[in-house]
Amino acid sequence: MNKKILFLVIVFICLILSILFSLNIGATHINLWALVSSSAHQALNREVVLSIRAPRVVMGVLAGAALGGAGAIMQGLFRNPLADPSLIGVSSGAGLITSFLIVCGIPDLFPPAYGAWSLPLGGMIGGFGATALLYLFARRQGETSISTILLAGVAFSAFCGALTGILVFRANDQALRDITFWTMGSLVGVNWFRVLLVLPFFGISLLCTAGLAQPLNAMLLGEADASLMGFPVERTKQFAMLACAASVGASVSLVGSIGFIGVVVPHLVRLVTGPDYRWVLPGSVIMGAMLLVLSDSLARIVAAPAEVPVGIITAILGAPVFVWLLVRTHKGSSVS
Amino acid sequence: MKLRLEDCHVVRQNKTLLKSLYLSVRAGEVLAIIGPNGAGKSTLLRVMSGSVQPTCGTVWLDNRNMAEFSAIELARHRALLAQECITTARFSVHDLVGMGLTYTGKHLLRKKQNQIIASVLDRVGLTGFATRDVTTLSGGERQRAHLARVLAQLEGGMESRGAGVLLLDEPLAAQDLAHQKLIMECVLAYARQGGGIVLVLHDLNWAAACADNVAVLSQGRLHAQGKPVEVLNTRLLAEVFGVQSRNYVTHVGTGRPFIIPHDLMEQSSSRI
Repeated sequence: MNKKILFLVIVFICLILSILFSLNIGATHINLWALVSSSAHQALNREVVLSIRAPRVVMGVLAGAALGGAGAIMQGLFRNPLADPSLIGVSSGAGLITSFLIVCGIPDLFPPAYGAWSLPLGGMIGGFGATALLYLFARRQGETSISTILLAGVAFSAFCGALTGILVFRANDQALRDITFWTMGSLVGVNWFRVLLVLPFFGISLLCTAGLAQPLNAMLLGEADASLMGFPVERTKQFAMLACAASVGASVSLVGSIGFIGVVVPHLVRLVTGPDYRWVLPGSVIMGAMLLVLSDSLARIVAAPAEVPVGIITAILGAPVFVWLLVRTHKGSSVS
Repeated sequence: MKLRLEDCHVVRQNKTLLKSLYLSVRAGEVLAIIGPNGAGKSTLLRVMSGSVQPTCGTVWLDNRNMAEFSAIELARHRALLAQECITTARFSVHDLVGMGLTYTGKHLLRKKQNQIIASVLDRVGLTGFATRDVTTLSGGERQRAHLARVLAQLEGGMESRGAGVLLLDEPLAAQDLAHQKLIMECVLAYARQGGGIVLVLHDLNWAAACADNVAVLSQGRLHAQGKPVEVLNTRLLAEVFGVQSRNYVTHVGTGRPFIIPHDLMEQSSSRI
């Protein structure tokens, strides 16, 4: 118990440190401490930090938390150690709907303050549709098949990718730029309005996740046994899918598809906390946020003054860990 | 009457799995269900647990239609140990058993819950295993850990509403002789507390030795039902299991039937 609390505290401190680090780096050199302590002549720097860097960091925290939490939930829901929003097609589902909305110019049909909402909403619908569809495919007699879900996920991602490709073919210049930006996965250009856009969806996600930890624990024993013990299996599945779709769909629609956080983070957390979702969920949320903020900082440093899309950094960091986890899984532990 | 099946049929994909079943279990009674592989024993147990709805017919649990129970009410009234339990997550034995108490023991203090967990672990012979990772246990130990979880589930509601119905699908399959005996003792103790017990067994001698009633299932139908001494005989072995010749004896001490493969023994003895 104490080891688990200590772990959460350490990860949380790391999150705070990575937030401060991220606020501190960028094109202009700004001393954060001087910013807090002194006054007038720091106005420009303060503006840089508050209007450019802060929303970006907040979005990084939210998207990272969404990906980490959703990865943990999906691995439990599918009883599949490799489930994650980008691997099984939730991100591509969200991306397809988002691209469709961009190409058709749906956001421009409304005044900007309203039209912009269509993107996170579309992302959520796409994400939910993809999750529900895959769940239907993979489920046979109360059990989900690991191979079916992965293969169906790959097929579904490819299909969504192809449809997105057709949309790109049909897109005009502005839409093309938006879609390209989206597929790279990047926190560039995030402002407070965009942060505001995703907040309600995170609210929905948070409400759905409350009380989900113990049912998800029981579902690791299989749906049949969970149901026999009195756990509301159907409701758990619906809430879990809604929680993932809302948070991942909304963040994907605004910052693009960022891979590997969702699959790697929950496993790293489990190495310390064990499989109990009462620890895995908060751990994955905090660690996901930390890793994305850190990756975003790296994305700004490695090729400075240019920026590398953050999706590339998470892939470079995440892929080796992912392979390591695969090897470990083959040695005997699965949703461990 | 704890549990009663009234004219239950189960049809899945145009295949009749169970046909016109009437069965009942009283409080304190041990009912053994026997029959050849694929006779529908596990399906019958799932119908009794409410996890499979009969295509037609009614299951009565404590004189109430089972279909009217909520999932949590059902969890308080009956528990099922399936033939195979999934154990891929690295829970500790204590956490696994505690999961059974999540809903049925919600009203209990943590201390009381821990007492229940310790008590059921003791009953299934897993004292000292509480902190062990379930994935490191042997097959038999895992099965007993799940049995403890199922017992804990019923124990959670014990004080408020008395003993429930315990449904066990081949609980002895992975156990050595000592633990087979331990599990049967544990089951009989629960029956003495007023619980209704339904066991699917392949070992006819355990059924003969411990059950109050035996139900013989064959091709989804109830072939025979009654006390072990009335049901288990040479004719049944021939009709249901297709096993001929002198396999059946009566135990001198208890008068209960006892089944041993005489013909195989004779063949073996010729090789000595």
